[in-house]
Amino acid sequence: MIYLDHYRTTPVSEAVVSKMAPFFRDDFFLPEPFTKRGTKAEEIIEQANRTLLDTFHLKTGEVMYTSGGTAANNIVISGVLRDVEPSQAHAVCAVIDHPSIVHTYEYYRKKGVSVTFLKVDDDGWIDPEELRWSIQPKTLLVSFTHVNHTIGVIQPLEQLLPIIKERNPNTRIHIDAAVSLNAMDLDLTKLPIDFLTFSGHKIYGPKGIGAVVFRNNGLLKPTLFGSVTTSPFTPGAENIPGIVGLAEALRLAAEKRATYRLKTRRLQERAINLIESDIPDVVLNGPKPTSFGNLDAIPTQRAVDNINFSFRYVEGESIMLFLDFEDIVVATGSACASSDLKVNYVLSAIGRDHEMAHGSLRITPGWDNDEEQIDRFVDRLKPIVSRLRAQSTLR
Amino acid sequence: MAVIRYSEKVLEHFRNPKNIGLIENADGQSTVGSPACGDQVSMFLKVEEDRIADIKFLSYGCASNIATGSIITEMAKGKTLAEAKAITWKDAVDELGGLPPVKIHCSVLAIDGLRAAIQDYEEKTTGVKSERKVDEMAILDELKKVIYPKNGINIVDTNMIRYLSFEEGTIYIEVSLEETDVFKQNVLEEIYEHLEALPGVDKVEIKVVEY
Repeated sequence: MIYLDHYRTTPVSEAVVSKMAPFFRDDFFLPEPFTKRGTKAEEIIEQANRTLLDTFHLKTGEVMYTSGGTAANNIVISGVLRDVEPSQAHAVCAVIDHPSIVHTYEYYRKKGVSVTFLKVDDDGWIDPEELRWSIQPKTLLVSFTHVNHTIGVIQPLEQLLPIIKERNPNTRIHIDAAVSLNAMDLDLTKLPIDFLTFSGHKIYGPKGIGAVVFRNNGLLKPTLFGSVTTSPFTPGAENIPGIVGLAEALRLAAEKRATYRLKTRRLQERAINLIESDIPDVVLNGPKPTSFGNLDAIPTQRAVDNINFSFRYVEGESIMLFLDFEDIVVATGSACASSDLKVNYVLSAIGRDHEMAHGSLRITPGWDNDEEQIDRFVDRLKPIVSRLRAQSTLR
Repeated sequence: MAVIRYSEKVLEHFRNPKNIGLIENADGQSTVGSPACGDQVSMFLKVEEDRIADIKFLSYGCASNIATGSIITEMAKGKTLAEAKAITWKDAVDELGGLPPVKIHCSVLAIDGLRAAIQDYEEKTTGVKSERKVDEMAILDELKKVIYPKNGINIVDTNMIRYLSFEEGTIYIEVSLEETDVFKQNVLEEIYEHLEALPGVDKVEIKVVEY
């Protein structure tokens, strides 16, 4: 198998699996004050919290664990907006944000909250001026996806976030870093992020676990109720194996980041060059990666592990299935391959027409790929595309 | 949650489609669907003594689109025009061993293409444009080509059309769709695509109702 869909999910690394193993049977206890086993569980969670805060360079702060990135984004947005008078509230996100952000804000817009969905340019960037003028005195929350899940565009947080706080220091900032953390460091002492969300399964950790790292509760109110031991926002039994796995996955991601960047950049560069030279009529979706060749520079425009191409005159599900026959796994933005038959909204937002979106593939390499696999992938892709083009009405 | 997968037969026709390509100087041909909606089919016919002597198709579309084009051309080849016209999308889907509901609309498109190509041939040979008068019944028939992806049945038989009128070039319809229906956008786009193409229709107005 050649797996090139790491933005969808990653395998759990062996180191993470062994770290989690004791917590299924031997140390299966839940946190509880005073008792030996209960306090040991408390300590385990405390250690995980420390790992998370350290990774984001925070000395103090709080952590809550959720069932994943989607739940984390929901808890933050609902935690800020659910209990306020809708007419008194305003919030901002970008149209290309992850569905767990966009759909949640759409819900609150229907409830009467005023929400600005910022447009993006043809590469996927938010306009800083548009952002500036969107912030109002009643803006409670701004959410962005740091690295976009479809086209890998990196929003320049260093530039954008101060604008928000300048206009309204009380506005809280929520950043979704789900696909950022394998390659990118986020220093929360330098960035005014109030809530940072991510999940385990995108960073070689387990599924079913995500987290919100935050400085203080701020405007957040609980949206789930039950018995509280560790965080008032996430009552109920703690997913201790998941928490341990998430912390270890994040620690390893930070530790190996420089190597990961080098590795995936080479693969990205090779794949983009090969596709552009071997297959005619292709268009890269999202910004061009900068500084190909200069492997020391840290990319600031496009994530190193994301490639997204539109192949004209063909439809993506067909390409994806032909690759699947050969055990090559990628993703497509085609409406035909989606469960709701909608065309990919990120590609629409960057100005790609339906045909371009239907013919798109997202190719996201990771730790388990090498250059030989990339060569083999393009080698197989080429005849598939030309064959489908030969039988297309649009040729 | 249902497992959505293609049957072996669909995959076989997708991998090795029959009758793919075009026929130069075809006796009848058609192109239906649009790239904007994700699929388009062209059909080409050679007719001898009222029988389909040869048939080929081209497809811009997903696996079910290609597989349906393949099976329909197989079914139509050698048949009389009347027999070929009588093939329904249901026949094609049965022949393919079933299609997921969400993919039924692709098979409807291929049947449309076959019928349009036959009509093209008949118009060319008789010189008579067999344009059907667009009235409410014709609109309803057109709406029967719009498949509700949740159940794979057309929106008319799914009882989603609440009201329909056609006056002075404007079609007004009320469609029952819940706000949260994931297929809402898809169904509306398909309705517009089908009705706006009808002759004499200048405007299509859709009202979504939740009853």
